[in-house]
Amino acid sequence: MKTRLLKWLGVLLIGLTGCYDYSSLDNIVIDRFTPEYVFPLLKSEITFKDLAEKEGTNSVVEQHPGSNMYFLAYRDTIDLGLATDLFPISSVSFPDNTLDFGAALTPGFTSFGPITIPFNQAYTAIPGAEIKRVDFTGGIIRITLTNTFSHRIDASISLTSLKNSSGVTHPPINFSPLNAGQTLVRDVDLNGYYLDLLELPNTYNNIKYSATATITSSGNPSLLGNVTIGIAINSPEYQQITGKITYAYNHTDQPYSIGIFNSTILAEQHIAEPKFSLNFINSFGLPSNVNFTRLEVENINGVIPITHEGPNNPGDLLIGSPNTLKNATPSKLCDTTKLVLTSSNSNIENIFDVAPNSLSFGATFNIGDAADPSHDYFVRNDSKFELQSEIEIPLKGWVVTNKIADTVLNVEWPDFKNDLNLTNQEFRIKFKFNNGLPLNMYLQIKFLDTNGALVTQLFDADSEQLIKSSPVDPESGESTGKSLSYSYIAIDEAKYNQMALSQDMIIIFKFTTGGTLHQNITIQSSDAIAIEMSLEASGTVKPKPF
Amino acid sequence: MKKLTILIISLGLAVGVKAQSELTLPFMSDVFQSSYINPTVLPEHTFSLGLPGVSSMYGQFISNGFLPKNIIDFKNDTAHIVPDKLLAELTDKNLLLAYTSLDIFHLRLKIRNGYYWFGVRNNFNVSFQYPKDFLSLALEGNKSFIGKNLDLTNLNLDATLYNEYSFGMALEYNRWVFGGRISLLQGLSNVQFNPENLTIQVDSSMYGHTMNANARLNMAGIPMNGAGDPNFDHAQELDYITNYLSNFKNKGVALSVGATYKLTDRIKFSASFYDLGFISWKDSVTNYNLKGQSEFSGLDILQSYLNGSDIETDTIIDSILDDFDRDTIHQAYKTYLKPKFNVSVSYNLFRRTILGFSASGVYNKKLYPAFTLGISQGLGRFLNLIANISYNQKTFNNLGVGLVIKPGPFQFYVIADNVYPAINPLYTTNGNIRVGMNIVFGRVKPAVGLPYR
Repeated sequence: MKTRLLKWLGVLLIGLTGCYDYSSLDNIVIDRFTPEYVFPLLKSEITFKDLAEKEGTNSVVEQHPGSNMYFLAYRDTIDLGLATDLFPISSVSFPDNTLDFGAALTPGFTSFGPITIPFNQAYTAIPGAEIKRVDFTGGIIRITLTNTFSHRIDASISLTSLKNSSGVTHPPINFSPLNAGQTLVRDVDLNGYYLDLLELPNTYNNIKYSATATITSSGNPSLLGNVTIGIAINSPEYQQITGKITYAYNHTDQPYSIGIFNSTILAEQHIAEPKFSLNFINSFGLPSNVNFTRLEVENINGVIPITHEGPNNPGDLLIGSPNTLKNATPSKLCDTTKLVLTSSNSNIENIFDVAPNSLSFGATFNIGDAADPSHDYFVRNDSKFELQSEIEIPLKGWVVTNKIADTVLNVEWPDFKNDLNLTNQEFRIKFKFNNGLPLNMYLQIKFLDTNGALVTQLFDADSEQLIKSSPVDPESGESTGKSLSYSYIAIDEAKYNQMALSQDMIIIFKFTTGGTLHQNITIQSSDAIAIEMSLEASGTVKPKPF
Repeated sequence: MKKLTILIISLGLAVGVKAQSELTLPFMSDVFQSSYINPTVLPEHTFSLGLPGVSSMYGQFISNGFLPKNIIDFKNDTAHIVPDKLLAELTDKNLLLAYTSLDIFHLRLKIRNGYYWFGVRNNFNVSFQYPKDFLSLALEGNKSFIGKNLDLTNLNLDATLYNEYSFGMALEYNRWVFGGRISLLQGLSNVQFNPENLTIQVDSSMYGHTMNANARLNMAGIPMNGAGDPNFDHAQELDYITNYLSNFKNKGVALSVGATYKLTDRIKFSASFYDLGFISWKDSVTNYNLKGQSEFSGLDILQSYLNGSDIETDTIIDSILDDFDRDTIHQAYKTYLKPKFNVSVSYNLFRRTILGFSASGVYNKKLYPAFTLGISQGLGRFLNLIANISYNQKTFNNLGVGLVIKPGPFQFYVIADNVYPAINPLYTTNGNIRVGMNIVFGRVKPAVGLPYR
């Protein structure tokens, strides 16, 4: 019995414990599997304002008060013709004058004087100008007296033209004693003083001063010698120059970027009622005008001039003839002149048909009027022309075609097969658009090799419509609702492999307006588009063997 | 080494569970360690001593999610793990377990009609429960969950390291033997993630994901840096280790009780339960809570993109997380040992031949039962052999063996509940092995020679 049991136990053990051939597990792999993933990528709602208005640029999207219609404005402000550039006054040294006692000195004299001698000195602070007065905020007048006598001189200089803000002449500058053979220098701070350069009745640019001197004998019998007076104005800084001043200032090129069309490569479009306006804020106290020598827009095809059309009305921006600019007065620091080109006084409505990417002008600013006898005009040290420009593009019009192209260079394509052991990969980007904008949008991407030759393109057709325009009111051109649409971009392994042969991509985006052909549509502030984007991705994973 | 790696990989793609009952150990009453299962076992020796590191080393793994043979195809000398078959095998609760136990010390003495012992051992277990959806997500992707519920609620993790200080005794009373063990548990480290709700719904239109979470991650005894984040930079410093091992602030208790009834000289019935206990984690505790719902339908970044602004991904992630109520607190918590039981009957077929049958199980959210039929054969004074077969972890192919050799006072033993991994790993969902050497002497019963001498 015991033997039988033990035998059965042995059989059971052997039966259950047959040797396993572990070599069958020498090679283990996980079979290929094909996961399919879906991810939401993007969910945003944007208005046209978000689309068109970019931080760091001069473009803004706004509405006029009381209007729901958007307009796109490119605004810029520049300063032209700064007074400190146009009318600098520099240091000047005037020729020396001489104080000579002449025959009044006789041998054996003990003392003579005082005597006073007046002097006039021409001062042309601004060439060609008749300056009545210069008010200073800085600089000095340097007076140098040199005594070549063998005797002592006691002298003083009175700068008759130099007055303080109350009109009181600067006190005499004392040079006593000025010993034999000695030179003395005195500086007078100009800050808070002005030079009265008018010698009545009608002499301008004139500095008056006088020298008073007494000579005291040193016992030397020599009577030879004199006192030379040197005057210089060093590093003057003016606050205002008053007089009769004229100047012609050429500003040859002033460009403005129109960003919205920067990437447009083809356009058939029309923008209704655009406007170009310039505000000249003139702080020169001089009669001024500006003459536009050219005003034009430019796109990739060339330059198109903007012309004024019709009668000249006040406020029109004239091209080729002077536009009078209001100027500052003693009681008004500056004055503003607004000049405008609209669809009713120019060809500006047509020039946006070509999707220009810049606007530029050249102009001559004429400052002062030679025919005007007044000498009470002025230039301040901060006088300038502040030029505020605005290109206003109402979002109203029609677009049959507007193609925008952006190039992406040196694309590095992931190697799914070798880096991720992934084959048969398929991607599908799924879009959901709920579009309240009256715009249709299309997409195409072209893939180019290193020689710029086309390798493949995303869609076989010229372009694929991604977004469908919202319904449009036939009368007002306004959006009347939203259009829900789904779009897909599918890329299979074959397509991807072709794409991966490329180096650069050109993304071509086309949009057209909704409604009927050539119907003006209007983009309103309430128009928005909700975009959702998801990714469907699948691929066969081939795990590496253990 | 490669075979070992293959074996481990073939047995599991994921993680671990709580310790499973040992099935063969109860049949080896001569070995002190059998008292871990049944405190009423009566050994042959009056004295047993276990020295650190050599007395007992135990390792166990379980992967009950799939049977390897069902997911592997052999083609061209290559074993192909077939993902589709793997997914077909999995259920909504699949367990992976790694468990080790190392005896540090024990001393057992017989005093009059009773046996008394004191023992210390270190236990470490990592258990991971994963739902089928977890692997489906990796192998099939999330597309198959469109319009459905991706339920990860059953994604649980529990890792515990603790020391067990036990005092036990077994007393004979007429035909009865009563035994018990009470243990002081010294919790060292624990990580526990057991969400009440963790689901993701995928919208069928644009694939928006809605996440619902009500989950807490508990951690205790994990080294942290000044910012309160787990950091192991100082974990190897002597001061840290000394403080760590002498920290008794995370205490717990465990109880084991058993009874044996000797119906006749040949038939015995025995029943016991063990590992009924808990550890209260109070020191170095951090709890991370996540509760709420968040919907992610895509990034709202178009405006930033059009403006050329930087896209702050951290902010976006934070805004998603902000949808949830999140907090980090330091609140004591308890973890429970997984209680186990063993009921057995043995029949002394011959003088040193014992047949036995046992039903055992562990309760870990649900009952994991096992049934074992075994035979023990003594051969001479120094050798004892055990063989058994069990139904365990969904399989019948669990062939257990045990061997005890006692040259002099040294009692060497090796026990495994399932040697089938070595025989045919393709039919394996679990395995364990216990080896060690006790020092024993003082026979209670007279030495017996070979049965056929």
